[in-house]
Amino acid sequence: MDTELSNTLDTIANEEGVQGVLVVDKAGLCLGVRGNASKFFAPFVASIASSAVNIQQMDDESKIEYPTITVEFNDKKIVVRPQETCTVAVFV
Amino acid sequence: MQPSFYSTCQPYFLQGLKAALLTDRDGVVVLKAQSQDCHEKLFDPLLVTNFSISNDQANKLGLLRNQAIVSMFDMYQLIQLDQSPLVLTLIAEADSNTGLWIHLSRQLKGQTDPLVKAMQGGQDTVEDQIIGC
Repeated sequence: MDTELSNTLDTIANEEGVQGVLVVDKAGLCLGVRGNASKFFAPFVASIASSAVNIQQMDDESKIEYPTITVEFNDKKIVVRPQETCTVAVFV
Repeated sequence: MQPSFYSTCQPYFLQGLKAALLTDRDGVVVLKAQSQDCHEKLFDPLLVTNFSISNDQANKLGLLRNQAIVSMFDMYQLIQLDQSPLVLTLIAEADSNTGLWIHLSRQLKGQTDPLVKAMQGGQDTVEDQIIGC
């Protein structure tokens, strides 16, 4: 059941420049992790994602937009992309 | 220890945490941190006694010691850790970040470990005295 997710994580992790990948569900629990990403980051990635999604008018739930969030450190960057059911964080 | 227990929990009240309790297996409160809108019904000892029974059964699954049980209800979610002879209970909103509560429970476990170890040491001393009689 999780073969497709596992293969997708492997594909992303093997891309040039990618140091790690983390997939998190809406409850802040880790669904999959590769590279130097840690499962212990999962609740914080979910929290960042849900906070960003909430910064918009929610008149019609079918028109919710999912923004891309970038967290920049001195020597690395984390790109967080929430979706309807899960959030993907790529460590570059 | 009560002030540090409360100050660790306080930042999480805005993110859906309702209460954090350190109790014995019968639900008698040792340490408590609660949000301002927390309902008193959440401090029913039944929450802890039910966990104690479930934890005892889980320990028999052949997977060594059960560490924690996460229970998802319609109204709330419970994260309960076995810190024998004590129990750590976190109560939060049903749709809040479960991973965050698991992280917080580990933080609080680190804080309360000295107290738990002191109580375990006290229990061993009493048992030694009884055996010695």
